[in-house]
Amino acid sequence: MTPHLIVPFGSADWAAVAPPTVVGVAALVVILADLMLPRRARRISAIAIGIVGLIVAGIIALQGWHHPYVAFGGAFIEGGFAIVFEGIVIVAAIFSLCMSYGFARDDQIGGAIALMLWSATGAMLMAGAASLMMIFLGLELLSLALYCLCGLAARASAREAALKYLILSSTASGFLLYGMALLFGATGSVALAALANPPISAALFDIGCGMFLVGLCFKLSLAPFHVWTPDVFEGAPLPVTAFMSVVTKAGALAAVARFAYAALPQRDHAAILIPLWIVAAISMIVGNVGALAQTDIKRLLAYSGIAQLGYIVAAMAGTSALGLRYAIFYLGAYMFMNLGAFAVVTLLSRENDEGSRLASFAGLGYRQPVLAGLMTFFLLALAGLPPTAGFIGKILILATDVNTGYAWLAVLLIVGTAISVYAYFKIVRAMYARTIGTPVLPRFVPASALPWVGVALCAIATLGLGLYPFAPSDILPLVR
Amino acid sequence: MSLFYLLAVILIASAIFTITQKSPVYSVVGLLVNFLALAALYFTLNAEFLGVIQIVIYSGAILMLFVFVIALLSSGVGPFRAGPNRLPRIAAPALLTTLVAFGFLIFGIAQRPFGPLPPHRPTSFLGNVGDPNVFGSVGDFGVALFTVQLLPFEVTAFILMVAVIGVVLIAGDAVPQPTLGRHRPQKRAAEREPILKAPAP
Repeated sequence: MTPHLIVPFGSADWAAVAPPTVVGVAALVVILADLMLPRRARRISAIAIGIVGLIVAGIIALQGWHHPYVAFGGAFIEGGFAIVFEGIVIVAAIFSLCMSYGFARDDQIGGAIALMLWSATGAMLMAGAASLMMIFLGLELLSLALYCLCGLAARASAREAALKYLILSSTASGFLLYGMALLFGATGSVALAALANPPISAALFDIGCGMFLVGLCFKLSLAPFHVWTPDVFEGAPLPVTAFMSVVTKAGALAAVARFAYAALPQRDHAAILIPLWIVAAISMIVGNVGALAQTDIKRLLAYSGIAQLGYIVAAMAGTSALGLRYAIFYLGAYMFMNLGAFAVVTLLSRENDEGSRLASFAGLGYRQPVLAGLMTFFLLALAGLPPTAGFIGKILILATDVNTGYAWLAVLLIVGTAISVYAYFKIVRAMYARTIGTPVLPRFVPASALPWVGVALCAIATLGLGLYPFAPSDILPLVR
Repeated sequence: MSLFYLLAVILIASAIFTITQKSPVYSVVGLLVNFLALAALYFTLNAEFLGVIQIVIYSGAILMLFVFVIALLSSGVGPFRAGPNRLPRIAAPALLTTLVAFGFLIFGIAQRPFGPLPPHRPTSFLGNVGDPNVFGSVGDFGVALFTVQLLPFEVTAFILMVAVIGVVLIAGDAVPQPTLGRHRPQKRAAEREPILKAPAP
């Protein structure tokens, strides 16, 4: 029997996956350069090659803005939706690279930067993935590189974090994969577009959707599935934590948004997605209450991230077009304020001390007033006070939730924000309070000026997005 | 259908055998039976490609890897040391989870009772899914791999490469002053005890 072989892929298909490919190849270049260059030049060359690769990928991605293209028979869709998420991943990766100068041993730095780029590649593949298989593979590429990165620091807590992340994340992947298998069984196709067809068995379809969402909620670290987050964030090396806090979330959020907006048939929307909004509501409360008790800033930012992701998912409640725009806007704002805070912590870190304990911040307002001022600004933004992007973002989410009939989510958002202010201001108080017996820490000279660049850019972006809230429009037709 | 039940019983029995044995070598043998029974199950479903792959990769490569690991860790010959008995504490939640999971599955299966396949079956490259030598056959798999699933195929290759490099990076020796490539100190091998000692005269 001769099958009617159709191999319809041409240069346009490969061009559609060019942005992730460029980042993946840049990582290979980093490894090769690491072998050839002298030891002194390795760190700066690895970071420079990585940043150049990411910028090139971003420029290539922007070329496709007005030319959405369904590549590889529906496996990957390059268009406005994918490009926005790819852009967020690229920017977050660039900032994380800026913090990576002092990260890992000399002989590991090339591989570490390469793994970070590969992780970003996975997230970018998820941004455009339009089939269940591509979502899973993107997620695995993203996670696999992160397991290795978590374990790179020499201390025991990093190894513990890597192992915890590996085991729990694999469990979540199991849920995701089982859900995908059931969805495949119910619809007979791995394409997201096929989910709209009438399923063979409605129950299989519902259970599949549920398990699929559970797997992704774990990766988003939403509330009942968040337990791994603080431990992993605390144990992982600082730049990896910063990277993880945005890039993993952006990738998983792209998959959830595409699933909720484009894949699910309209008849099932409300029933299947209700648990997602409930999970978002729980996250807002659990994340902010959990942040209250933390004395390690990485743990605090982990809990903060749980709550912030709750806000972002809540923006999509009711799956309105405006909600998706505001969710993306808030994700961008979260990226800048969160990475800004992480960059400040990077500037405080010394050898053998990541500067993430609350004690490192004691009296910072008198030792380094500029840095303390910027940290205060980022914390204000995370708490959602004006004049920052966090404030505008929350107002927009509140508005869309009320409009789509999810006022209860808006109420919980306000309650969560009120709780969070106390958690964030604990750090502000530590920085400015004059306590007796404050340890006089030596003035720290950072190993490179790169984190300062990151802090400055994040501060400008957080302020700029707050004054001129820019949310990309016309994305919704491009999701599908 | 009777072949299915026979294989199902072998599968479950060998799985239980695998996790209840104290000696790891017995567990591996149990796992081998399990893998072979699963491969036979694939053959009965006309998924011969999956069946062959199951034998080659799982029964062949992965089990060999297990055997090597057990052989290299010399503790493998002895039985496992039994830890504290945690069963009483986890029995109730484990049972509950199992029941819920099974409930979901049975509920899902009961929605569509066994019977003839639906008239509008999904089609594969070589015909309707469910016909012999179509879905899961070597030809079908090959066509899918190099047409609609080309991108996932390439990405999978990429993931494997990333995994290998990541493992090398983590497991790389923690020598504080690693030399550049060619001049790796030869001391270590010389310092090592010879495996076979010449008998004393």
